[in-house]
Amino acid sequence: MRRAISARPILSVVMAALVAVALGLSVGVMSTRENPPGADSPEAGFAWDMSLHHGQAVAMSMYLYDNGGDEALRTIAYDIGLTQQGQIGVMRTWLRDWNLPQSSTDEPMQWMTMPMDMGSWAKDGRIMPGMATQDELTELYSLTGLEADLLFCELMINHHVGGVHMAEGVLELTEDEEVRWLADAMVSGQQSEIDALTEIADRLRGTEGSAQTG
Amino acid sequence: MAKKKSNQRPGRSGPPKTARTEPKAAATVEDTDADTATADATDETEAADTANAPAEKTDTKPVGAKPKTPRAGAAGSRPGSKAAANRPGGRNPKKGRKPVAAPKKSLPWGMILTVSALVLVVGALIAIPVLTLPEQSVTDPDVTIEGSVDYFEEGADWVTQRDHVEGSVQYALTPPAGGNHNVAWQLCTGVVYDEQIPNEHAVHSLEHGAIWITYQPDLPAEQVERLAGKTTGQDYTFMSPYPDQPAPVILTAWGYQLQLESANDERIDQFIAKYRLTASQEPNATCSRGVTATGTTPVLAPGM
Repeated sequence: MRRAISARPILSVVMAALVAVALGLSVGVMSTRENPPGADSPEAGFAWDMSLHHGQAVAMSMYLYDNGGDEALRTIAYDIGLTQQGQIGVMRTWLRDWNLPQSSTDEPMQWMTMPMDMGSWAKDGRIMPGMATQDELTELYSLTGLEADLLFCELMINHHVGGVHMAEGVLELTEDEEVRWLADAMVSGQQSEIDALTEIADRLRGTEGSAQTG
Repeated sequence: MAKKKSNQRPGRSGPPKTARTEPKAAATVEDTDADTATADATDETEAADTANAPAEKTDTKPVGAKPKTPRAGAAGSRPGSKAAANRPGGRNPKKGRKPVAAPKKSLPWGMILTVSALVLVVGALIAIPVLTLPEQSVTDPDVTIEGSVDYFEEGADWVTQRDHVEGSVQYALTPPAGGNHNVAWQLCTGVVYDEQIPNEHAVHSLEHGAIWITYQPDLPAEQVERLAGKTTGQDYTFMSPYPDQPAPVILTAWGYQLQLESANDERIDQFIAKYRLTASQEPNATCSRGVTATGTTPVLAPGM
C-alpha cells in the first residue's frame, strides 16, 4: 500500500469533486423535473386540443382532395391535409416525451388565458373554435365538384381562423422553444392559406355566377 | 440553463429520466451512510460485529447487536460525524481513496469541520431534489385501472394478429379487442352508432388507436346519453350497442378491455386517457375516412 504524501491536496480535490457531483445531481434532477410540461400546462392543452382540431381539417382536406373540382383547391387541400397530419405527429411526440396521455378527457381550450367566448362557438355543438359541426361535415361529405369546393373553402377558412387563434393563445403562454416553433409555423402557414382559400373562393363564386347566368 | 431546455430534445424520457436519476441519487446517500457505518464498525467494534453477525441473522431483535446499533445509528444518521470525517470518502474502492487515510494520532479539527460542512452541503444538494419529487398525476399514463384486462400480459395470441382479411372473422373475445380484420376501418372520429357495427371494421379502428365504447342495448337511456357525451366529436373514439356482451358497458382498446356495470364509472375517463391513441398498433393512422357500416357483416368498399 502506498503511503499518502500529503492528505490535504488530495482531500481538497476529493471535496471539490464531491460538491461538483452533488451540484450536478441536484441541478440535473431539478431540471429534468421542470422540463416536461404537466397535464395542466398550456403546452399540453395546446398539444391535445390542436391535435383534435387538426384531425378534422385533415379529414375535410382528404375528402376535398378526392372529391373536389378545382385543381388549385385540391392541391391546397392536399397540402393542408398532409401538413397538419405531420404536425399532429409532432405534437403526439411531445406528449409521449412529456409522459402525458395522447388525448385529453377534459373540457377543451381551458388552458388559454382568455378562452374564446363559449357562446360564440360552442352552442351549436362545435367542440372548438373554427371546427365544423357534424351537420356541416355531413353536408360537405355529400357534395362533389364545385359545390364541395365552395363549402370546403368556407369551412376551412373558419377552421383556420380558430386554429390561428389557438396557436396565438399558446404563444402568449409558453417559453418552450419547440412549442413556439410549431405554433409560429401554424400562425403564418394558416394565415397564408386563409388568403389563398379566400382568393379561390372568390374566383369559384365568379365561376358559379357565370355558370348560372350562362 | 434556460437555453439548454430548447436544445435538449426531451427524447422519450422527461419523467423516466427523473425516475432513473432518483435511485442513483438515493443510492449515493445510502453509500455514504453505509461507508461511514462500515468504517465505524471496522475501527472500533470489529470483533463484536463479527461475533454478532450470525445472531442478527437469526433473531429479528438480537440483544447482542445492541452495543453496535447506537454507534452505527449515530454515524449513519448524519454524514458529518467523526467517523465520516476521519475517513473522508469512506472506503469506496472505486474511487481509489485508500491512500488518503489520515493519521490516527492527531485529529485535524479544522479539516474535520470543513469536511463535515461539505458533506452536509452535498447531502442537502442531493436530498432536496429527491425529497421534493412531484406526486404522481392522476392523468399519468402509467396509472393502474382496477378491472382493466391487459391481453398482452394474458398472452392472448390474437394481440399480434393484424392481417387484413376478407369476410367474417371469429373473435375469441366479445367484443373483440384485436386480431385480424377488414381492410376498411370503421369511422371513429367521435361517432355514435345507434346500431351494432361489424367487428371486422371496429377491430381495424382499434388498431388505429381508437377506444370502442359498447353497451348492452337495454342500458338506460340516460346512461347511453352519458356515453355519447364522452364520444361525440372526440377523435379516436366510437360507440355502438353490442347485443350479448358480458357487461352493461365495456371499453375496448387494442389489447385492453374494461368491463363496467354502469356508464357512471370514473374508470371510463381513466381508460380513455390511458389507452386512446397510446394503444395504437399503427401510430398516427387516422380515424377519418372509415366506413360507417352497420350490422354484423363487413362491407367491401369504404364509404366516407
